[in-house]
Amino acid sequence: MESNKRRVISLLVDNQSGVLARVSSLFCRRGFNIESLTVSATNDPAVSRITVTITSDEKALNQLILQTERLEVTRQVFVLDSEKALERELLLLKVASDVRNRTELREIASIYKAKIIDLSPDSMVFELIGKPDKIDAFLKMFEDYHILEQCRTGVTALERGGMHQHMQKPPQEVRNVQLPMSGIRQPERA
Amino acid sequence: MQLNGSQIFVEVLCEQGVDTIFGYPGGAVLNLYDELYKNSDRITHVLTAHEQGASHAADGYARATGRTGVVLATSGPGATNLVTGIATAYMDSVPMVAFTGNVPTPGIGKDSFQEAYIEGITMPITKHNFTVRRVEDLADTMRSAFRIAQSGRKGPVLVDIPKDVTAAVCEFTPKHPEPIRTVTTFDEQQVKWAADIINAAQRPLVYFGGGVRSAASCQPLRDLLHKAEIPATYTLMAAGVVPYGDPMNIGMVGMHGCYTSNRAVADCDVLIAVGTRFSDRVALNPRTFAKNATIIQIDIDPSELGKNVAVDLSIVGDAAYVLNAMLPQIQPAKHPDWMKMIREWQAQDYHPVSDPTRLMPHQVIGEVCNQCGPEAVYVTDVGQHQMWAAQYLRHAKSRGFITSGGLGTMGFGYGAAIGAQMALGRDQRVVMFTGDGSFHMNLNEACTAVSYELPIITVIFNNAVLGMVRQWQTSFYGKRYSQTDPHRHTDFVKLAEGFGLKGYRCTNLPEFQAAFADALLQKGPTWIECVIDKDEKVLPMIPGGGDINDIIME
Repeated sequence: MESNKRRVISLLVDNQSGVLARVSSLFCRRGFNIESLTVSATNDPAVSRITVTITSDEKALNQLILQTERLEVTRQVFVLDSEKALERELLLLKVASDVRNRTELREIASIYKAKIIDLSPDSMVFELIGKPDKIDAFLKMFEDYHILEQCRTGVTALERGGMHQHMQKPPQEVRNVQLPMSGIRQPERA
Repeated sequence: MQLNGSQIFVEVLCEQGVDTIFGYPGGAVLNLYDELYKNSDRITHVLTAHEQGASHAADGYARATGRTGVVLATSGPGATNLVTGIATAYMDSVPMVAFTGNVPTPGIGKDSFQEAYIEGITMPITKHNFTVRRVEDLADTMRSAFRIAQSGRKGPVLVDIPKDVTAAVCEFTPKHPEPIRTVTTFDEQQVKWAADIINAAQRPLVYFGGGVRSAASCQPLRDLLHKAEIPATYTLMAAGVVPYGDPMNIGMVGMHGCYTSNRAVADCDVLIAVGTRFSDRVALNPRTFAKNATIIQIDIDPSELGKNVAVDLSIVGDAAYVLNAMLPQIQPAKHPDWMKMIREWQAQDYHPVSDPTRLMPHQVIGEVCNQCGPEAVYVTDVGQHQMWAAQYLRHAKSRGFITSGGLGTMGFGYGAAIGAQMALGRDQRVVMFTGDGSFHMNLNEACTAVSYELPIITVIFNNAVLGMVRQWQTSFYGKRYSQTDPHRHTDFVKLAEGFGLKGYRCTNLPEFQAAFADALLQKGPTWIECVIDKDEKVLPMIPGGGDINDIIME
């Protein structure tokens, strides 16, 4: 059994009020900490996509997904395949700066291809889009600077290529759901 | 046609075939109650003493019939009083629709008088819930609520209706109820595998739960047991699905299940779990539960498969469809060695011994069965009496035992008995078992039974203590009886008279026989107090986390 691992879950849900509360309440009840969360409408105005990052083992994850699928508002749930996933996050970072360190800050920004979207006499604001680890690396460069404010959107993600099999589950169809425990007994039951 | 929200409310209830609802009026639902007044020939409204009683009544109505129970309450405290009843129904997968009034939409979120955010409060204890913000959405929302309550794994749904929506007018088009979506399909390959495993089994055992009753799959289950000579054990929620006296019925399993069943679970080589969730009152230790068996699990809810105990083969589907498909593939078989082992265990099992000097629970329950016959419906509260009723009643009907299993709600019984009696009519015998602890919680509903002349017989096991908790304190807490000996001086006979019903008090079996015989002749409700010893225990018992090796038989 796979141990605790970071996982990105994509949920397609009804686009209406209260849906996020239902989903997050379920995650909370199961004791999962949501590490990152993005919600937005999709190309279908009736559907929202929630992208959630959590750390979990395989068994708890399967259980969570099955329970999430049980919600009336849930249309599809799938775990993104980390090989195929395109994960992006947006960072806005406001750093104290003046004439003395402006050049070095611009240097860091240009190496990371971050944009400077505001320059004021006492501060600079950077915009960076990238994978979460790139953003982490960029932020590490600012450990010695004075960060005034910081905002990360959390991961939003899609998979490469056309529709994959695991995405093509017909909405709210119970019968085709992947069974979690069929086959050989789990080793923990020795 | 143009109708206001309250008229739509009544029309959709009728459209859904609802003829009885339980509830309690209040400011936010005045418009709805006005319309119910005008339509009292179409919908019977049962007024309870407390909204909690109404919610348990709707639950009992649903459990007794399989139809959706309906409860109506006002905003704020009316709505919050439903919470325990909704949670009870949710844990036992009972189809129920709860309607609550709310303050008018402009007042929502402003701490208006009697405002509560009931949608948020009940989110984790309903299958789904709604707030209706526009009268145009009311009819379809109500229809969805009834559909959701009955489809797939059943459960409660709440619809919150602000007061202005009940007065606003819109166009209404009547519709036929939507067909209930059930999972009619399943993986046929897996059913074949399951049949192969069962055909090869030497010591097969069926373990079934409330899902069998919900899926109306009692008959195919019984057919399976007899075709392949498979003994069967059941959970609290499934008492009566296979009748008492059926040779394949070996009794209840779990914490207070019989020795035979728990032993059979430990020793079987194939365990077929149908409509059950391996709860911690049954699979007390999920790692050792049925550890020698290949486990097959059939359930309609995919999230139940392998949730508590890892299983070898799982089939998602409605138990009726799965079992019917499986039956032709099952070879007729006999398992004489296995049945012999079971009969031997049964001979060693716990059997209570009557003591002529005192009144004992098994005597009372046996006498009730003698006098009522197999057709009675039994309702319980929660505690020792509930376990005694589960163990000693001669269950004969699949919907004949109504009890709060998952949530274990003390105070459930009287409301549920009212619901069952209303659903089945006054000619149906309904007997409620309770203890003095549970009964004190919601005995106020006796006034409801008096008002509606419901001939519910309540048997109160009075041991003057909170017996179940006290039993744990005796066994595991060094007899430190913390807050389980309340020193109450309730005179149940006088209290009964105060409510306007007939009460009896018995301290020995002949007194009880006479009292019960007299109670059967009464038109209205009665209650019979049975004075029992406070050290009376529920046995056998397997402590939480234990298994058959830890069973306590004396």
